Amino acid sequence: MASPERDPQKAFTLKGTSTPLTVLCLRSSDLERIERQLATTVGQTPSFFQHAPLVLDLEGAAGVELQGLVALLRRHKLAPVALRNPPKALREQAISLGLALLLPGNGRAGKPREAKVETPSPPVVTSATFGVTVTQPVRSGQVVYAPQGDLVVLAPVSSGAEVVADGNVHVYAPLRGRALAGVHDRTEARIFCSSLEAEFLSIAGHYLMADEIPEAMRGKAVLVCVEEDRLVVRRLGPL
Amino acid sequence: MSKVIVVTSGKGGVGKTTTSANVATGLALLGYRTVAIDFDVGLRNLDLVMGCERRVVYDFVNVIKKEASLRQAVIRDKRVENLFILPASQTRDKDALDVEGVGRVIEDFRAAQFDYIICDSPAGIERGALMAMYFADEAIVVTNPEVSSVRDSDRVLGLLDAKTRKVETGERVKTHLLLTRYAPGRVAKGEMLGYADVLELLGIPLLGVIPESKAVLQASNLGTPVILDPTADAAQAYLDVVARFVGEERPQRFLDVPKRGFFSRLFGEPTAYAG
Repeated sequence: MASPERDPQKAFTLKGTSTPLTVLCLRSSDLERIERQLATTVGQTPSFFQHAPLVLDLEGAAGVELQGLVALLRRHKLAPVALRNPPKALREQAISLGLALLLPGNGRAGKPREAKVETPSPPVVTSATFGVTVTQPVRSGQVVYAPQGDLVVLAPVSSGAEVVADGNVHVYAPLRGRALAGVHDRTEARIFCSSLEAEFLSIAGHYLMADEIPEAMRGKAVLVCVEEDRLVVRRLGPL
Repeated sequence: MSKVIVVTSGKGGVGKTTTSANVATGLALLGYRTVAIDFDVGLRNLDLVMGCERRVVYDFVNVIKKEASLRQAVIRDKRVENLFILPASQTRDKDALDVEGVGRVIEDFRAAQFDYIICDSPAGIERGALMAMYFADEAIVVTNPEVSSVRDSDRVLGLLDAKTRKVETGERVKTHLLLTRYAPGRVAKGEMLGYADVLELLGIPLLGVIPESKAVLQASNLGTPVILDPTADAAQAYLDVVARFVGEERPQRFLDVPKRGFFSRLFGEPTAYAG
């Protein structure tokens, strides 16, 4: 982490940051199929996808024609910025297309000698989202929404209240209302709470009604996540 | 410096008007210059509960519309010195209330050196209720020990944190919980929520518990706030509430089932709770 320098001689400073990004995991290398699905997905929530930075994961579609894919995404007003776990064969081409390389086992993008490649992708670095933190109780009838990030609530969420986030939802107090995480189809989002008394839980469209929440988890500290297309509630901390 | 207090609940029939009448009377008994304003335009009740319904000439809406002066509309209580009532209009509706008009009336009461201005809110969360809470410095949230009342109170607490002038200036309305129609015997049988449950759900300090009491209903019908009948348990409870409100420390009473003495065990249900 570079600390901010007050030296007027310097034209810029470097800051480490961690920013939530959408990852496009390809399961097919057929550009036509990709485009069809893209048109419907983007069509449903166009404002969310408008120039959204996108990381590409080609693990399920190693043979994809990268240049065509990037052009396709840009045509749909998406901003591909990096390639995650790129196959060796595609690395040169990715760099020439202005994409950064995100390599496994390395928190930052690329190795130091490739660092200069990162600079043409500023969206990743500048649009840091810290989410929303709420310290007051969320009362019945109130809705708190954290766009693009996590929602952290440090007071009870009452029955009849709704806490919503594009990222994770954390409630460090009793959760008695409705909690919705990953509302823009982010299945990797989770809900955390220190006492589960919720009326409704949802992640990326999968949901559990109050009656479907396992009785053994009531009043417990839990995390809720999506596994195999359904919501799973797990105890948090030492059992 | 005058204090504006809203008595509110969301749900109807939980005891807002009874509480407004008794708290206003109690504050006046302690020597504070107090006025109770009925915000329930169209469903005027406070004048009945305080026994001045036959002396209503002009009302709150007349003052807002500048058809009457405050001096003409305000009714002086005949029993308690320092106690005044501004009745609601029975013939208008809540649309007659607007921020400028209500604000002007509150400012006039402040200028007239009132210590406490009690705003008796109508039920619901619409215009009347929002107008009653808008200028409040503190709120007494009246709640019955049952789930629907608790949820409505919770909703109102959210509005108090969002739709008041205090919030617009970066402050907060101080909130107090008043649990009314509390019957410890029914709590023990599981027919009612206990005070601890309500406190946990709402998370605001407990101003007091008013026991379920026939005396309250009788007093309302007679137009004499129950606090003026010190033999009634509800009167004791309201006297405690008023004392706590002005900063005195008093232990909570009426929380538990009273111990039954030898005679009441012989002759059935107790008629009064042990103090």
